[in-house]
Amino acid sequence: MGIPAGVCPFAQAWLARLEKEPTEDIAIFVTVCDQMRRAAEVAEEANRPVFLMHVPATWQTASAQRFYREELERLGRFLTRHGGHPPTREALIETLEEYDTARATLRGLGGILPARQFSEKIAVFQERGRPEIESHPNHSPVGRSKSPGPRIGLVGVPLMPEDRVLFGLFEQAGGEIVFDGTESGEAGLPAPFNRRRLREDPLGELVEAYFGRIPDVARRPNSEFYVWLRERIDAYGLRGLVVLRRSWCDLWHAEVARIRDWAPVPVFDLDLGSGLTVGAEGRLTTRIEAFVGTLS
Amino acid sequence: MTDTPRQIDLNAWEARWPEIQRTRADWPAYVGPLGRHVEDGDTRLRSLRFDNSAAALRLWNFLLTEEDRLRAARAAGSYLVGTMKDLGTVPVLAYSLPNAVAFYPDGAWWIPCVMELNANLLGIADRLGVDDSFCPVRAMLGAFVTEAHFPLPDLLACSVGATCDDFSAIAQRLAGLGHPILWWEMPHRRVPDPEEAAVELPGGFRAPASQVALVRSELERVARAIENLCGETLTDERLAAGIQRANAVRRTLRELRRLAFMAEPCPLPALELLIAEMLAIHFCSDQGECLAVLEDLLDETRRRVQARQGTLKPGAPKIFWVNPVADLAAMNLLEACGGRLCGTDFLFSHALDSIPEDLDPFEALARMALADPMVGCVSDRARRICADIRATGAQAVVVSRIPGASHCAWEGRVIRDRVQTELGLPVVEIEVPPLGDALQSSHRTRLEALVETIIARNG
Repeated sequence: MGIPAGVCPFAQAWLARLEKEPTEDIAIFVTVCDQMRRAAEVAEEANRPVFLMHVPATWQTASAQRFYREELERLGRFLTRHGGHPPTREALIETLEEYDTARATLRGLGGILPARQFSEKIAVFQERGRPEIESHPNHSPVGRSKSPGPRIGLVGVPLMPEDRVLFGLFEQAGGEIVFDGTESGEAGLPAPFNRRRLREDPLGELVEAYFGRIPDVARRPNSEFYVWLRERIDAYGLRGLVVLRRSWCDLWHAEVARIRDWAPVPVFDLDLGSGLTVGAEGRLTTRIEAFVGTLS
Repeated sequence: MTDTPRQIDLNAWEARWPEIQRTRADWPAYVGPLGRHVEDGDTRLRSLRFDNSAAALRLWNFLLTEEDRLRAARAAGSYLVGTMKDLGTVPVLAYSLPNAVAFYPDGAWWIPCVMELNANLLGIADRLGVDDSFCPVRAMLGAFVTEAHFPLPDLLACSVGATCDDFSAIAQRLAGLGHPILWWEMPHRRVPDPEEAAVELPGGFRAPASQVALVRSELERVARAIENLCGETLTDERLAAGIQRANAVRRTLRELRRLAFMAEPCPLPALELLIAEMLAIHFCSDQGECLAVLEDLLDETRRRVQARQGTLKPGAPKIFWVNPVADLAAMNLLEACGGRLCGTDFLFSHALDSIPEDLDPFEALARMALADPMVGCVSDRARRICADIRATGAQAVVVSRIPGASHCAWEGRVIRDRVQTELGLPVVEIEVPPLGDALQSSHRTRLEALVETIIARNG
């Protein structure tokens, strides 16, 4: 599997990780960005079962929502063809409720854990594909940082494990990241299910909670992202916003200037490039200090 | 004009203009000396070499006067539809109504080349946070800000979904600047699942019927918006007639391509062929005149073929070109290095195929739109490129990368591997920025090496 130059680090990491998995394992990609759409084709070269789900960029029409639902149904057929068993209606409802409950628990931790730990919790939850939420030693109201520094929010590309050093860097600079609104953080969580609608039409409620409510910048128009972000800025009392992007992520890159024009708080454009390196971390520290300084 | 076919520079054209003016007094008013466009800022023309036919002069003038036509159309009461990214689909809808004119703001991506960066469109894009890590189509942002290169459209539509992120991001930035956009969905074209209803698309692809249905409903939505704008109804009859007119342009272009790629000696230079292909996606804002321009060029080409005359020496190595070039001079360079254009994929091969005329017109247009090489797998595109190479007999391939275009990173490798594996042909990848002068020496070396490789292979 050859990964060419010009490919974003996230897609590269995804493909590199996939390379280590048995080739009979299924890989599911979505078309939310072009990099991952193209990556699916590279993954297929290994003769692995690959499912590429088209997530419509448009969202305001009934046909877009219908198409998303059809893609979910197609995913179900794909999984069945590869050894899965179609769930009964009751089993589907039960599973959806189980995950919904777990996500509610997870969201509850947001008011308790320091942002870094909450961010890690979300990442683990999303990655494991299991609904259990593990307890945490700091699972108490006192676990939350009492740093007096300015409250800062993160938005942007999904965090990779090594990126979480950012939480510490901002803290060292006198600030505090209190909100992880990246795609791997709160921005990637679907809305809570409406349990009544869930029982009437489980798949329809799944569509509504994910396709209808996740405010991604890739959507066209992406106006809902700004509605969501405004709510979060107010709810968390943010005094600064960090927009994370990586090399070749055009969707976030082009959005930075608009966010800066729009945001009621100062915005820090943080280009992670191809990943944080030791040298880069030093330079980054200086920039972070300067940014936090402007918020104090 | 009975001159021997050859390529001439701008000064030679200027010297010949009085003679042409005398012999072609019946030509449309937009045809004039090319030098006037240089005075208007199109300074790149001074560096290009042009085909010396009167038909080519008409072609260039048609291309370079589009802004005037758009303003005249608006003054005459027509509505301007700016269509983005779909490259060949929405214009067919718009030109099916009597008072709509469609154009591609995306076309601004050539302004930095043609005006040699003097319009500062890229500088404006930089200031808007869309720097040179994006594809040169970012020049479009500057064109909207300055309003100096095309009138602002009355309706702006953009296809999204299975499109490159560069474009989607730039278009969203444009919307964020206060230009409302009608977004319409283009799904990623996939292979139909087993037992799933599927349909044939122009260009030889197949797609699930459900995807065609989605695209159809989206095109109907765009059509309703154009109808509302223009106060006219787009009946099936009107759309069918519009498809027939679009197909007339496509047929003419196909024949022109066939002769340009396969006749010996090469009867038409690469640069004029590139311009002719570009006309087909939106008819350069005048569908009837577009057809007349292409027919004129085809007549000239046929005359040359009959007379066994060409602009290159017989036997010039045949090269297939993948992707459009941001710098028009790259087409000249190919020929200066001894190569001959023999097949192209400028990212809109779906706009060159005939739209089916035996189907419901919206269904036909949806199938054509879904055949876009950019919305499917790169391997599909590579397969079609290989089929086209077989048909034209090209002996090598140039994959011309577009700077900042992230899709090029994925595509180049797949296309190169496929061409080498399936056809055993040499492939060269180059990157062509809007002004390629600084890289010309490097490009020349690579293209000359490619030409020499073909000559050596031919023994």
